[in-house]
Amino acid sequence: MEEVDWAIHNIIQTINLTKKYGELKAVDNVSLNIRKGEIFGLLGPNGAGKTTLIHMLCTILRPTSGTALINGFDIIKEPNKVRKSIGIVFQDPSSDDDLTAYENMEFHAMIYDVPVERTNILELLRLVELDDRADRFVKTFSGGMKRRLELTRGLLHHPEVLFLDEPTLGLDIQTRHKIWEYIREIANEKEMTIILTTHYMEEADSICDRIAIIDEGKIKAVGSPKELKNDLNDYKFIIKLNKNYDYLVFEKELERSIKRREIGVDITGVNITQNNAGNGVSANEVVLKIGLRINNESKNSDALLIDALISVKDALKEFKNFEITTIDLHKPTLDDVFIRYTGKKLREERAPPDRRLRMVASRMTSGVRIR
Amino acid sequence: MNIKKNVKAIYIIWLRGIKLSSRYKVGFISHLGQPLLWLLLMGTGLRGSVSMGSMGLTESTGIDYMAFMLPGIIGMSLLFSSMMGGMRILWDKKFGFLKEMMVAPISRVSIVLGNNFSIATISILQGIIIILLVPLIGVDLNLFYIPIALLFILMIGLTFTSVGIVISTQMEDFGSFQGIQTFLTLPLFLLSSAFFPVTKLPYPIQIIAYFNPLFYGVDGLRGALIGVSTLPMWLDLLAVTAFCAGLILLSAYLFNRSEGI
Ligand SMILES: Nc1ncnc2c1ncn2[C@@H]1O[C@H](COP(=O)(O)OP(=O)(O)O)[C@@H](O)[C@H]1O
Ligand SMILES: [Mg+2]
Repeated sequence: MEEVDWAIHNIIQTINLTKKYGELKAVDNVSLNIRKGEIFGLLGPNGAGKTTLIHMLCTILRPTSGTALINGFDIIKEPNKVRKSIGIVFQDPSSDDDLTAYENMEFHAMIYDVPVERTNILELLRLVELDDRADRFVKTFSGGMKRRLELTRGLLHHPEVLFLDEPTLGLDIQTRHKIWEYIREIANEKEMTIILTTHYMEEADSICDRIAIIDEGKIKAVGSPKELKNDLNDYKFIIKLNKNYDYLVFEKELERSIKRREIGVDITGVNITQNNAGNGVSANEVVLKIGLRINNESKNSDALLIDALISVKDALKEFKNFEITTIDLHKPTLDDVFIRYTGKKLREERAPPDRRLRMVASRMTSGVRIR
Repeated sequence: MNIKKNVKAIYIIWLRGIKLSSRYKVGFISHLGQPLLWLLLMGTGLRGSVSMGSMGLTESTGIDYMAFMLPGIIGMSLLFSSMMGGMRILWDKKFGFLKEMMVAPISRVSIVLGNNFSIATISILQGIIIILLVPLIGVDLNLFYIPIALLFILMIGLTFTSVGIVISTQMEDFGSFQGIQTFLTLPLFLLSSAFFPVTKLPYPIQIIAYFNPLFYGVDGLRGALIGVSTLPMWLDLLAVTAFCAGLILLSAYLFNRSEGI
């Protein structure tokens, strides 16, 4: 019963899909199900095998073993039917530089046997704000413009599944935002299934319905961004204190004092760093980090954390009348999820702590100046 | 049904190729200018100094060296421009457009054939222009045989475009392509009887010439244009057609098999 159900809902089903280059397993035994209509993100460091996986699904690379079904068609046995069901924006530019934007679209329409009028093409170009450049050669376009052209070209033949391999790689932040905006619009309007790869965690977080984390060719975790982050269950209070004491002396006592209170969540660690100016910490501040794990599934986690924060504040006040300068709550981000599953950072910069809760926390702090 | 679809796909790829070529007027003109220069400078220079007797022809045929060279020069120009044109696949591979074609619901074979035909079309156009200019330099042509000459031109064009595509599928960068191409074209050209009949070569080398498609192409073209050839024209046509078909098939096979774009 259940299996039949899945078959209907899964527009893509990979079965032990594997690609070897010599000894290297670029894609290693991947079995994934992607549901119709979802935006599915593939996240992984460079060389994880994302592009290789997509190329196999697009029928331009032959799997070493395993296979996949797309829209009910086998990528090995029925590549032509698969090709009719998909559109793709490749990681590397793939538009024809020596043709105009319009000609690129027209050529694509001819190849896919889609009858189009000039007005249809201009309309699609307008979607990505390129209609005024329709008759310019693509070689005069910027990277972002080429990307937008490829995106709209990929939609021309109304594919069931659209693959986007690093659609925003190497683009500036405004262009990136625009591209995600288009992608969201498309997904909403056309009920298309979108599979994308990206390096930008926050963007994946905000746009994807579900995410697979891939490393060294293997799928390490699959789930919605929320599920993945919740599963991590690793929160932190980052409290800055004025440097009135030698805090290191108090570390153990403080931990005991906090743990003695029922703050509603588990404390996984207390850690004080002194003499660590820079990085947003001034010379006369000390950073206290308290690691937390939620053990009560039935309650709203934000409510639990805010209660806990108040308890911690009280504990600090009672303990030594510490002067708190700021309090931040760090909730798990996709970066954290990523590090957990792959043991590496995707990018050097850290994602900022969750904004909304940070505001709550700082609003609370402003009333908590303890003298 | 399927055939109709493939023909349409070939046509579309062909159209793209023609469109692209039409954008490179400089390339077209220089490919045209090169053989004309050869013909004018070499041909006129050697016209007086090479005796036709030494070419294995009697003076009485009334053919001078310029006329003798003409088919060879056309063959040479086809050889160069077709081989270069075959590089378009490599170009597309390098600059991404090939992938766009490879995920489209059209057969691999139609991609190769479409590219092949568009390049051959341009080569043939150049051949025709050269033939049209020939009366200006005082060589009499056999007008009746011009359609047959065009057939030979077509075969030479398709054959060497296929060779270019075969090389393209095996190479990853332009440097190695150019290297192989230079390595190949000179012997192909010298063993084609473009400047002298292969019968003038030592016997073992003559044998090698018989494996050279350009030899049959140039010989047949010479037969058609000025009425002199080493082999009967039908045999030339048969041989060059066989080479052409074989190389088109080989290029399609290799292209179909090639991965990792
Ligand atoms: N044609 C190829 N030949 C050999 N190794 C390759 C080839 N293509 C990719 N690889 C290797 O396969 C692995 C996965 O590459 P890729 O799929 O491009 O990763 P990603 O897109 O996640 O950055 C890398 O280690 C890469 O070096
Ligand atoms: Mg990649």
